[in-house]
Amino acid sequence: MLACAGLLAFVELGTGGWSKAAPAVRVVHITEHDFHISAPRRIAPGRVRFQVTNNGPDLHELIVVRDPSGAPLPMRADGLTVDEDALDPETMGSLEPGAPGSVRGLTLRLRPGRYEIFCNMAGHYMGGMHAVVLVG
Amino acid sequence: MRAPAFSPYAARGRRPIVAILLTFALCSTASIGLSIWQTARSQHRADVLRVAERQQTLASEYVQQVMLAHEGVRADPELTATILRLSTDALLDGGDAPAVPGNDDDARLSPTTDPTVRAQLHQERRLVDDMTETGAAYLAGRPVTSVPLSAHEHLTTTDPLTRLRVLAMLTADVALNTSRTIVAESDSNIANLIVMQAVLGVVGLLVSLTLALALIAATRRQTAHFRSIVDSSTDLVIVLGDGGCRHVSRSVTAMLGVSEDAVLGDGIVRFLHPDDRSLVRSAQNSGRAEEIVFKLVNQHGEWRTLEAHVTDLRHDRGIRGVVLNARDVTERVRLQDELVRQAYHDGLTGLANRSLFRDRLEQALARSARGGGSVGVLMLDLDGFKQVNDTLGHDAGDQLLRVVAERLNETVRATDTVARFGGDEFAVLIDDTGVDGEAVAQRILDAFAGPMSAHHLLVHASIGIATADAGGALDHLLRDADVAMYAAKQRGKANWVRYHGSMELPVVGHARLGGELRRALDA
Repeated sequence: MLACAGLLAFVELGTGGWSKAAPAVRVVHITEHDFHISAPRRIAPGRVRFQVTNNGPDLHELIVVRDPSGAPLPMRADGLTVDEDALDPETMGSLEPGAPGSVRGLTLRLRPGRYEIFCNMAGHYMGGMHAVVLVG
Repeated sequence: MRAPAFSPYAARGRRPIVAILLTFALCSTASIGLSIWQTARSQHRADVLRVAERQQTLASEYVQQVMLAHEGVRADPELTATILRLSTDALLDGGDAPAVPGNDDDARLSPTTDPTVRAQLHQERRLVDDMTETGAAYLAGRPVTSVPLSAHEHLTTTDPLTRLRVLAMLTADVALNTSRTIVAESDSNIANLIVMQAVLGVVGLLVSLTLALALIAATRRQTAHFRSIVDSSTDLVIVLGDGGCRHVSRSVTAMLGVSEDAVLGDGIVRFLHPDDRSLVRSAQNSGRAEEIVFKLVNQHGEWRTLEAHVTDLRHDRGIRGVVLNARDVTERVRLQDELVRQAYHDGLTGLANRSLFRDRLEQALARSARGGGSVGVLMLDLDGFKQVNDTLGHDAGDQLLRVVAERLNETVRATDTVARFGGDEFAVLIDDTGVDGEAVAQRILDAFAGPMSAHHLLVHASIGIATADAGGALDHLLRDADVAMYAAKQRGKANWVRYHGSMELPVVGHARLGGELRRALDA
């Protein structure tokens, strides 16, 4: 219920607030499920809205980082989870863990480059929840 | 259809009271039932939550035990794997979740119905299977990459321990999130319960309030009806108790012409006739059922006579007093007095009539018999009255009789009785032995000497005097006076004669004849 309300508020802000002044926001559909992320391989630069659907059954978050090198992401001491602190300067945005069945939006302005999107809940990254999105 | 009979007592109140009690009973039962049900559910949910959270720890322990066993240290990862599997099954489909040795007890669980939780538990079961299969392969020295993964994991690493740790981490994560979902569901259930309890309470309160208001309105209506009946009654109700007058009906204040406050308490004493105060006080003190008659004065100074029935309701909690149910009998008493007066007085002159005269004479003779002394009677007949009637008419005759009555009253003392026996025949009772009958007779004759009435008539009287000593008979005395009066008439006009024994026989016959003739003429 709260999530729905939050989502509605977000959608209103996203469409009503910017539709006049700013150029149109492109919507990119991203689907998460245990333990995989489906996203388009390549998208155009500029304002983009990631519409993230969690198909469950577990909860999932979404973190977007710029990663031009293509090298493996830095890991924490446990060797199993991504070190988000080390990636902080390159982090474009993130969504907190969302319940199964939820649909959430994340609006970003993306320059051309290579981006990695992933879920960093315990074991999810190593379990396969990561994808590369090329912009431009 | 016939209108329902009016009942002044609150019989109609029973139904709303029963309805109010039923509403309260229903709402309370529903509320208590809900609480008991929810408490039982909470108890069960606590077990579910404990088992669900336990899975997280057990997954980590499993990895440690596999590692220890691999190092040759004595450990039992298979037992942990079994507990993990059985617990997941129990959470999903109900049944016993086994105890963790040295940690907690087993728990009997019901099947999970929530679809989100079920989906997460299914995933948890798949992950447990993947993890324990991998652990077993690792311990058996088989290649872990050949273990089929059923939970859609995409493990890229080939290192067995890393694979095992990732699978344990995923198992723990799903177990943790399952617990969170259960808690969230439980929270929403509790919120729903609170809303339901609140709705029940409000509904119960509103229904009860409505019924109570209806009851109050009905009672008020009934009281109003009853009050109207009491207030419109002409009966006068006075309640006397501790502290004086406790209540008076509207009819009492209307009769007295004062406000209720003026009568309540000791105020009523002011309106009571002084002679009646002790009577009313004794009725108030005794409460004896009786009829009492007393007088109250109204604001115009008019005395009203009340006849009241006394009822003792001092034991009645609603009354706590002696009730006087009274009627205003002033008019009736006045009428009675008037009838009595008419019965004993002459309508034309207002003098006593023959009955009253005989009554007074009887009393006087009785007194004389007790205390000695004598009683005198003067019998008086007007001379030539018939001519007045015949020549001037009956009105003039009546007027003349009234003047004669006045003169007689003026001549005798107040204690003497003057009576008109009818026609032009009068009598005077001299109730005192010391008074000289002849002197009175002479005074009467003197009083008649002047002209009477507007017609300047001269009227004279013939007077017979008789006196009885102690023990004298009434009829004898009257007859003697009559005889003497006729003797006086025979002797000439404006005369008096005292009776003496020798005049009795020859005159009696004449007197009787004269008396009868006169009565015939008067009729």
